[in-house]
Amino acid sequence: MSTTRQIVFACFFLFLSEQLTAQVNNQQSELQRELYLSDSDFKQLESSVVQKFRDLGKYVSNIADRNTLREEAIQSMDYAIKYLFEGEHSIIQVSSISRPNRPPISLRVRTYFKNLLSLKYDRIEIEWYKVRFTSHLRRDANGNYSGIVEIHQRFSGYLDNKLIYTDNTVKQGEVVVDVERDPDPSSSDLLFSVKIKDIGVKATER
Amino acid sequence: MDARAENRLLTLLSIVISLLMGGTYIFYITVNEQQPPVVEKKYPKPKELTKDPAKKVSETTMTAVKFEDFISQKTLWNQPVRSSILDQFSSNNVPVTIYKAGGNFRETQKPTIQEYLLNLSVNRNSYSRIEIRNLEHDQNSKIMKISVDEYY
Repeated sequence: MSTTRQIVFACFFLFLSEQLTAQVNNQQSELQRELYLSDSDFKQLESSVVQKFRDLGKYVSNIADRNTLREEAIQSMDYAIKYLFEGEHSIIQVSSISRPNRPPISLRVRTYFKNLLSLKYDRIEIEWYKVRFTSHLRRDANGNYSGIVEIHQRFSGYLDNKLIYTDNTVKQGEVVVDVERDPDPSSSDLLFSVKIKDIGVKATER
Repeated sequence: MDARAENRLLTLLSIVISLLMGGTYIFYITVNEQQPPVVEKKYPKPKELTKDPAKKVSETTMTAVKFEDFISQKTLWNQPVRSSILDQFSSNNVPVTIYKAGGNFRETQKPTIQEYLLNLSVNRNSYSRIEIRNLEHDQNSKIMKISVDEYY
């Protein structure tokens, strides 16, 4: 009886996982069908999305870098908000291992960038790595295409060339992608724009 | 040898010496006449040094870094070079059309050339290469239209 029950449960979970996989595949292919995207085009699109997050990581690092001129840091903020985020209202969460029992703090994107300039360290190193999709692009309730990208961040702060603080944070960013055919009938271009909505904290550790 | 024979020998010797000297003179004259006339070389006058050293450096940078070279030379993507590169465009607001990896994916938003140069500077190690897809100049030979292919 026990063995039969285990087999029934196993079959049920197998069926459920196949249904979920099929659903995700259908949502992906829906976007491909609408725009006549080939598999390689779809991969190219997702690759571009991941690259946008990597670009953002470089901007964060550049703004925090004490060798960056303040004027250039401000220009970098403007560029990142204009071309990588949905807008000034986008939120970035921050956390610290110094306050383990407190929830992450939510900051408007420009406030987050400005805070990077005023952190009390002589040298700051911020590295974003392992940037990848955890939820592939699919149509959301508003009819837009969105996905979730996970980022690992290593933060190190130095004073007098001594490492004072370091942590590793896993962040998740929600991204909205608008993709359409070029309205010009003589063109075969696919126009796309990638906008990061918000970036939240998933976990922080030493 | 008697005195008569001695005189003859001396006379013969003087004739030979005279002939040799005469021949040498004639040869000297002939050679000198055949030499080409000496042409005085005209060297250009030394240029006056630029009074403003900053201007001189700026001009050197301008000629050394063309936009086409700049795109492919990642080590030169710094602020002074970016400023000189901007001078090659008809304005700081020339839009840059960005394609991905030589395909037909085009970014909807077009950053200005000033913004794009900053972006290149920040992301200098992200690209494996960037190629110019299209470039158009205005009447003053300034770049007024540009599209690029970015490869990661």
